[in-house]
Amino acid sequence: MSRRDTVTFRLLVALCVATSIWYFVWLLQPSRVGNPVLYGLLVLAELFNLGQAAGFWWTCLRRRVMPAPPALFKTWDVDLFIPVYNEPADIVEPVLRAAVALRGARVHVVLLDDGNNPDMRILALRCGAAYMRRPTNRGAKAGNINDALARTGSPLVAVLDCDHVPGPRFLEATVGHFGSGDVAFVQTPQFYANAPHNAIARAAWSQQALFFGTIATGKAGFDAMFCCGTNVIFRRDALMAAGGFPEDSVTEDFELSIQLHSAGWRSVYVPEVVAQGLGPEDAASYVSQQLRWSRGCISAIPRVLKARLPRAVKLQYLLSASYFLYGWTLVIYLLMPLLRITFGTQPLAGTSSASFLMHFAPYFLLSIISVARAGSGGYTFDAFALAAANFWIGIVSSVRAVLRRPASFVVTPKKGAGGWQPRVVAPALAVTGLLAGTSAWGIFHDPTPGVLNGVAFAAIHAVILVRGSAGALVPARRPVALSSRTPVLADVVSMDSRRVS
Amino acid sequence: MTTVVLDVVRDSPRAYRKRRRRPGDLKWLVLISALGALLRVFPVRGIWLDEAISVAQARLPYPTMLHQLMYGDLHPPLWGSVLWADVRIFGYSPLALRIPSIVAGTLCIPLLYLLGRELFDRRTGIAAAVLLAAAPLAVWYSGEARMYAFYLLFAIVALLGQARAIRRGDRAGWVLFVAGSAALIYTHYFSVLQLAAQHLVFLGLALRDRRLRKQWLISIAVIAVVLLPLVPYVLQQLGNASSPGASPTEGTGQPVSLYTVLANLVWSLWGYHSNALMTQLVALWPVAMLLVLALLGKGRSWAVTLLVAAVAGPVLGAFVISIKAETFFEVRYFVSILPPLIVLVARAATGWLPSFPARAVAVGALALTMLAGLADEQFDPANPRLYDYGGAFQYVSAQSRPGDQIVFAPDYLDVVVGYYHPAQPATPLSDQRPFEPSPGRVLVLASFLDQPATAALVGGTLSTLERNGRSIRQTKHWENVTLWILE
Repeated sequence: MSRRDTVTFRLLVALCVATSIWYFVWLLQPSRVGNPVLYGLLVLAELFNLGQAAGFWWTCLRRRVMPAPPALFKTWDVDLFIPVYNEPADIVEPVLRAAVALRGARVHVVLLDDGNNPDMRILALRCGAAYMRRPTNRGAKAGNINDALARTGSPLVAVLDCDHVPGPRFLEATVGHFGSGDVAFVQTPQFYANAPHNAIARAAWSQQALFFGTIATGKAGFDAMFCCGTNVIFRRDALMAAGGFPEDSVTEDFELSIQLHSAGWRSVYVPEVVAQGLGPEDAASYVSQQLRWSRGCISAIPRVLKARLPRAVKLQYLLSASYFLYGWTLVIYLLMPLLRITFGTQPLAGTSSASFLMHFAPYFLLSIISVARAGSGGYTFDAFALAAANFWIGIVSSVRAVLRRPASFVVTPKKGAGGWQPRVVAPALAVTGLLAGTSAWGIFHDPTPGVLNGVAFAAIHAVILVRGSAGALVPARRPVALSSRTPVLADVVSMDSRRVS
Repeated sequence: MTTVVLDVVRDSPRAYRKRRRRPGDLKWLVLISALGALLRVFPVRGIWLDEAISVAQARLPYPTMLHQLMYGDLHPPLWGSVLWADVRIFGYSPLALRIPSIVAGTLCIPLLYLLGRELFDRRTGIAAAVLLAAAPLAVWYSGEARMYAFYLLFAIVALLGQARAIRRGDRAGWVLFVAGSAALIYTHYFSVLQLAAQHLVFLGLALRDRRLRKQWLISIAVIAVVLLPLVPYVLQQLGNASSPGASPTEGTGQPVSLYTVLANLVWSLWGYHSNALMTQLVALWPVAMLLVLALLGKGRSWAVTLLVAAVAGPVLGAFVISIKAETFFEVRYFVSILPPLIVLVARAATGWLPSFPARAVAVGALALTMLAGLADEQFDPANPRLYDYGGAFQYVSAQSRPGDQIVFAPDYLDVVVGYYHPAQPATPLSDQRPFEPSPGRVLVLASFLDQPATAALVGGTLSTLERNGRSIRQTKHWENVTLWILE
């Protein structure tokens, strides 16, 4: 990030803060209270989003150009684990072949097969990798890795998901950071190589690009970057001191990071794409992935609150852990036009549309511009719509977390099933139907400007929900074979500039 | 003049292919322009106050007219000169008076195609031409004997010149830019808002390119030289601006707010409508939030920056000015935003959608909404912009008989009376001198009754007449004109 970009972004954040104050001072006037319950809900939703936005700006302001890894004074031994669980061999093979060819360290590739698939043993042997399996599947992926930790001994341990092909620089770009004795792990970005070929993967990548491009570099500035489960290298001592990966969580990587940071270890984030993977290729895969992440993150909130972490690091963890609660705010926003059209009930009173617009529009506009600017234009409307259409995920996850319902580790499908998946987006479609029906009733029953305003709000929600659901309703194109993935690593540049070709 | 092409805007072969004209384009363009011309010729509205002022000025000998403009008006002299020549060639019929505007308004269509093609590709150009042909505001001002169609035309020329100057760096581009800029200022002073935005874009690019910087500075110097004769004119008119009665018509009467901005944006794309319909349309403002969200991830380019600047600059400028003088926030004063706005819409419709049918449906649907807006704008009698003085004076002429006394208010309608010259002489009502009715019938014709002073004057006159034994025999309404016949 150039100095000019930094100055521009700081100015933008200053404007964002000013417009936020301008809006919230106006909103929180006692005279604005219309229906007290709706007003309370609206303020809650707005404050949550302001908190997330402020956290985003704060994180982005901490972005730093990452120093190059220190020169390697010794050749490290690295155990590279590739956990599998019944994934297709044609997905796993390129990963194995690229892993055994890695340079920059003495690498010992181990295929950890929880599927007990004889073909995997043959594949591992054919590629020059070791093969391990265990009698039980206890602890899912975390248990699989912990089992392998006990049976290997290199000082560094790398973990790659079985659909993430490492590039030649994977170890060269990362291992040098372990020269510093307090570094527990080095995380690198996840990159979806199938993004150009698949709409869901493209939208999911756009979400990921914002995280791994801007947010992660900002978190690294706070020394608060957490492990993302793949494309990561650990110091074995740190892992062992933490007792290995937690097996009672569906986001074992997130919880492990909390433990390591609480114990005083540091993490490093290398914003260079050194491995390419596959993003979810259909709506069901995306939902499965998001359900696991949201459940894990929301369940981790109490642990974050209790953890003995520096305040800034704790806040960073809280921002990430609470992100999926946005689903609740969306429900509140969806409720407002429905109630206004049907009953004429409004959260605000004693004001006019012109006044609301004058205070809200600058805040809204600048917040969007800040996301666009921070993401260098990489965060798309489709990414936003996909997240919005799956608002129910955060709600289901938080309800289950509160009820302490057990979570199960579900592996994200590596190949999209394609075809129609209306069940996956049924909540979004149901809400869209409700919005459309209520709007139609309002237009025919009482087409006053107030009702039309509610209809316009309903319409934008409906468009966003339909757009976000489109991936489940329009049959996906044939999944991209791993072997035919676009060879991107030669063209890839740092995630700092977010221009991954 | 050397050729300057910025590295940042140089065409890729693919982009060049998309911009190159195809043989079929000309056929389509002629068809679209012809349809656009038809919409601009029919229907012909009656002459309204501002047009009547221009006509009254055009009746004068040329030096007297220039003197009158300089000492009694607030507009630069280009439009007056064009109208002066027009009336001497074509006469004074409403259609004859509007020939320059119709021609300029029609020329805007192919020029906007060129602008869309220069900035993006030929698809954008065609879509922009279609949308401009149907745009109610463009049609409205192409059918008005005022300077706004020229304002639109030269705004497009200035943008086209800048686009060519940036992309190709050729002499034609710079000449177009200089000529368009100068003509714009000679047409309407508020065009400096657009030109300021355009120069900001130049500045941004020139900071990165020394050769462009040189050409740009030369262009500024040439524009300044061309504008020199206007300086004494402007200085005198700045003095006129502070004198009362310089601009008789009032604005919307609403405080300027973001709501007003939205109303003006609706006017710019879908034309003028009744207040009731406008209230409903502006209530749909949340849709703009969707548009903002849809822009996420669309990337930036100098072409989009130029267009956004050409839209946002004049709107922001007028907004700031209107904090002091609310009547200045009125879309006709920054009508130059229409071409760049339409090109942006055309770009979104053609660039964001993946297939030809989807693009065609989107552009067609947009054009249909504009045509619906046009129909409502032209034919809804509740449109507050419609003034049917022609119909009213025709009726007055038909009804009046010798001995009738015709009075009108407000007094600045004298130019309209002068244009329609009813069969009997008409005198203005004035709050300065008492009205003395003659023994015959009194015909009271009034307009601008939304203005309190005029309403009070007319109401007072009618009351006085009734107290003196006259009674209202007939009340007749036309768009924004009312006639009372008292006996």
